[in-house]
Amino acid sequence: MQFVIAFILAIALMAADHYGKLMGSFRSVLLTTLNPIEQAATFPKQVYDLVTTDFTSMDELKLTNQKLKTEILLLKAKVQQFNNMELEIARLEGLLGTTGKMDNQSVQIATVTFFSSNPLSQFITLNKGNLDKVAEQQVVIDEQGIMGQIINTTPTTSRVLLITDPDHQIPVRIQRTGQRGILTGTGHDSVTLLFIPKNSSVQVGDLIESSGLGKVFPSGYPVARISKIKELEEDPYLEITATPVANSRQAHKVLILTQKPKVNPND
Amino acid sequence: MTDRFLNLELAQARWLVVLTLLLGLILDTMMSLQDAQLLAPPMTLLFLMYWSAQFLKNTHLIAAFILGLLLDALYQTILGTHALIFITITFIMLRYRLLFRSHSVLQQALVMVFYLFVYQFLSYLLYAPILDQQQSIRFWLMPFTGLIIWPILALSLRWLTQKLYTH
Repeated sequence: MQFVIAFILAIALMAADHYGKLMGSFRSVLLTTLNPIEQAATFPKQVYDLVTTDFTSMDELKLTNQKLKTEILLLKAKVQQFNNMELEIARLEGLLGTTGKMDNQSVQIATVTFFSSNPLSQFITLNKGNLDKVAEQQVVIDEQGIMGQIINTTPTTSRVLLITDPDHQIPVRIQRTGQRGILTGTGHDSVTLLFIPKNSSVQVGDLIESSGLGKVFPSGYPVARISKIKELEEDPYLEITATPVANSRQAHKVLILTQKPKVNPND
Repeated sequence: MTDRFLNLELAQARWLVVLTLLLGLILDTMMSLQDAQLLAPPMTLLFLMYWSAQFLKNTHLIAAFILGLLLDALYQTILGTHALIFITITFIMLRYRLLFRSHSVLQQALVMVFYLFVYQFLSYLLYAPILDQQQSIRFWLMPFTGLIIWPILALSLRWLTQKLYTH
């Protein structure tokens, strides 16, 4: 009898989670319960990192510090250029009467505390949660490009579904041609670009960026680079494989993007 | 001492059971950090199987259901899928646990290969993972790791239980 009840309950849960997406808060409760277990599991690695970091020589630290200072200087110079460009684009868009493409984003820095990469699911856990005003559907990037989006939050952590996960899709465009498509994960540290017709001009090495359609992912962020193009006789679309630009396996610090509410200049 | 070990009740060893199941969860979490995850058996399930065969007065289905749910949250799979797999395998074990207990540890290990194969088969049906050739080999070889792990696990837990509760 217990088996029948548990069996029916499991089926009902599966249906509710798959079709209704009603189980978000229940999953958050389970994840909160699992927090200490995740921490215990990553403890040996943390100790190893701590020990190896502590033995890093002073010279090496000085060198890294100098490198970072130079990098900050260069980035500051670039930001100045981007600010000018942003103003110019806003002016041009105003002249053309189109709506603004570049949304203002504020960012929050988070640390990766857990990483899972297997064919069933690819995700990372961050050390920021509800208490830090992190919410579901927020986009996570590293210094290279988009990593994924937040799918679950607990009070102190959040889970990010990586773009390489088979359940993840993101609307994109090829930067060089503007051709739109959908990028989906394969579960193998790579992604597939769907719905690109055979007559499109696509090349290996082309950069794929987010198109901003669907309003979840902001427009213009690099996502992946095309690595393989295959033409199948019976298929009207190309089979395109791409490598994500974000370094999800090595990333330690990441940025969580928050969309700032748009301010109407006429107000 | 053997009689006392065989007649041991869950209430007497509750803390050991809870701790080993938590250890199973931690080991499964550690495995999900590694690339070798496809080859690693579900340790939580192995611990659960051991206790299901050890304590004959309990069904362990509630524990199987809760552990399955926790693994669903851990692996980011659809809620209820691991719970379904766990209760199915536990149910099969409950039907044959007296026979299972009468086997030697090596024979039990062979039976565990069968249970782990059921686990992989149900996982394949429910998750339809996209696997390349290497990963497919590792995925279907996983049940055979039970041959090595089960004797170590069963003998360690038997020794620990005897040491803690039957002296």
